[in-house]
Amino acid sequence: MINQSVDQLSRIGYNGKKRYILIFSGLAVLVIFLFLLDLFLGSVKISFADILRSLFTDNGNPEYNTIVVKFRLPRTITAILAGFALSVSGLQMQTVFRNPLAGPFVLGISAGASLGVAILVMGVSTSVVFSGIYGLGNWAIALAACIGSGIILFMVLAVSIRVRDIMTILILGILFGSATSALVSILQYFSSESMLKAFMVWTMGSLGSVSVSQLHILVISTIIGILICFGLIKTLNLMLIGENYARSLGLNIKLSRSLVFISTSLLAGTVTAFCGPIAFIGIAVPHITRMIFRTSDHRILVPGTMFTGAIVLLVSDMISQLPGYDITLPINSVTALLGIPIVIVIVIRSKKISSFV
Amino acid sequence: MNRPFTCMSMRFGPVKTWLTIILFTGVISCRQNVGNQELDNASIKIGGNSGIKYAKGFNIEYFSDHKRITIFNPWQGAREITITYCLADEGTNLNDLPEETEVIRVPVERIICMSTTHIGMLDFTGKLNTLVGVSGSVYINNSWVRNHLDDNQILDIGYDQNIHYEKIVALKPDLVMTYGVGSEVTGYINKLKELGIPVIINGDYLEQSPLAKAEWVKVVASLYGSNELVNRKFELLEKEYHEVKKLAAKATTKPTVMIGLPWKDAWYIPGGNSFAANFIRDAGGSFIWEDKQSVEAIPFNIEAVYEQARDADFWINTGIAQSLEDILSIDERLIDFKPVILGTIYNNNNIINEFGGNDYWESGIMNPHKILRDLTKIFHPGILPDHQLVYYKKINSK
Repeated sequence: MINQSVDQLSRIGYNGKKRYILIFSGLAVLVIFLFLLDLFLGSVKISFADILRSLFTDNGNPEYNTIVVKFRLPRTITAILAGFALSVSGLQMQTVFRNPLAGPFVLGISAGASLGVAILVMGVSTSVVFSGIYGLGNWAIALAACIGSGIILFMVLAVSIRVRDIMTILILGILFGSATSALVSILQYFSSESMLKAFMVWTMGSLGSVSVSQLHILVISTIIGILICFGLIKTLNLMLIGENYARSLGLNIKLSRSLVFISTSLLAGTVTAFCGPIAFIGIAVPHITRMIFRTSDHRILVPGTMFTGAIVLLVSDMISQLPGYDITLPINSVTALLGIPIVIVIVIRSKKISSFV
Repeated sequence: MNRPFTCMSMRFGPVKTWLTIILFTGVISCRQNVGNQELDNASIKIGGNSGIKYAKGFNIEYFSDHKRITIFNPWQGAREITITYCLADEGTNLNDLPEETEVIRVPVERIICMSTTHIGMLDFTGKLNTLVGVSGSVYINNSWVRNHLDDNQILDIGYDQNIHYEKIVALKPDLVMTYGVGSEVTGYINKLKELGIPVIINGDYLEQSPLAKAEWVKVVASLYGSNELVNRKFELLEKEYHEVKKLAAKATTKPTVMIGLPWKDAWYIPGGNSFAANFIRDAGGSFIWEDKQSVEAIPFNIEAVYEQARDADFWINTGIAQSLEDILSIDERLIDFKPVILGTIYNNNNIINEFGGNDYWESGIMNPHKILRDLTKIFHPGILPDHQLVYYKKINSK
């Protein structure tokens, strides 16, 4: 029986190879199209020719150059990277936990990051060390988020090496997350309104505040995280059939698990550090991808979720920018409003979904 | 709590709304339109209008044996809510008051102030010696109050949700002066009333004109019967304000002014009718978002702000930034704004204490003429050549 399902798995990839190629090329074209569209749309109206001129030459209108190169390009690239990172880490978590509602943050990464940022932003108001503005610098926030999620990751890893059952880790992850949120609540309770507001805005997420230098870090960590995930494709396929079976097929479960956790934390942690906790992408996109490709083979799903994630986040970004208006919506609300209907469908059709995962 | 925030350019929209909706839905039902029915002949109205010229949030009526203060819509988002306070001496018999009128016995001898702006007003009235409790004491700049806090003659009673009711009761105050960010304030006001402590809401932070904000000192003065003195002092302040305003209006240039700091990719810009916008206008500056007819701050897209404000002549009110490096650490793209190159960034945090409490929101409330002089001097260095900046300072590179 085990052999049968493994056989099935390996066969899926080759059946309908043409169809996959077709879908992939369609998605790739869509990503490029949306990338350009996202560059084009914004509060300031800039013609498409001016955008191209700003991107590829030095002799455009300097104002447009700044807007395109310093504001829109980093934001759009961030949207793509965050789309890659969050959906791939969501996919990994759903596979490892064999739970359709798992997402990149089940390990408590965003809760940890929130705690880091909360201590920085709101702790400053109550602590004696008020010395200038250091609490609010862009880098300081990212660093605090990294430290926070890093500590949670360390705790989850430490547990996962000792604990055999994956469900225990899931529950512990959720418990760590809740405990962290409780600490954040305490900080919120004691903080002044301005600090509270600063923190709230952080939790609403933002793609547009990533600076060019931060973008470098985001690119590097996303590449490393995704490379680890590509290296784990076979492992992930084996995990699908259950850890016990996978173990009997010679898989080092604890090592694989740790690698998956490291990849997930790197991907989701860095995005959270720079953009805040962006919700629902990580849960919804893997399901959308499975619906599109009708497969559970990670050779297809990993690149598939990357493309789909980038598309969903680019669309969310365009909506949140409210093209033509001066104001902007928080990205987290947009992704949630897009993601929630999908999650509802998943829950309603969960029988079908659980047979997928 | 420290008032700075509620008055700052960064308004507290979302959280306030949440608090309002989640915590105290439906709490506001009381005190609707008490009206101003005439009392019977025991008490005769002797002054119809109290000469309130700027403030929209309150009115004072004088009766033969008491004063009546009516406060309108005392928190953000309040509609059609009126609270009437009756201020009378200890002995006065007040049986015939309209329903829902709250009685405050004057002169007040022990007061608790929940905002730093109240301390500015108390100081202006010359009644700091009646202060027994404050909220968020670390943010206070007034040295007299700080000394008395150190001696435990004035106590900190907590802030926001962390108010120590027991401490308040132990202080035996005659009155607690508070402010409402939202209707949730009725929750703790009712709690204090249950404890038998009168509460008055000071709506100064809702006033958008600097003189209107300062005019709330007249409410404070009524609590002590110091109206005449305070009215005279206020007239002087008002006169000075108008003189500076006239000078500024004569200036030949009208520099454009941008404001605030971004937070992530949202930049909260106060509306064209806000406190900050009024100061800029009166100081002979041209506020870039003058045409936004709102009071509330609007979350602008940073890209839109760049397009509209990159050529601004001045940049003011940059949060808690002390140096150019602080500003650039928030977003390195801010270097593309002209005031960075021109070196024309000025922040209103010249007087802050070690915890970041800003005197602009304390004594500054009662010194709008000084703030206006600062801004006029900044925008038009030729006018007021001898003036030294008080509340503002130039933001330089470290």
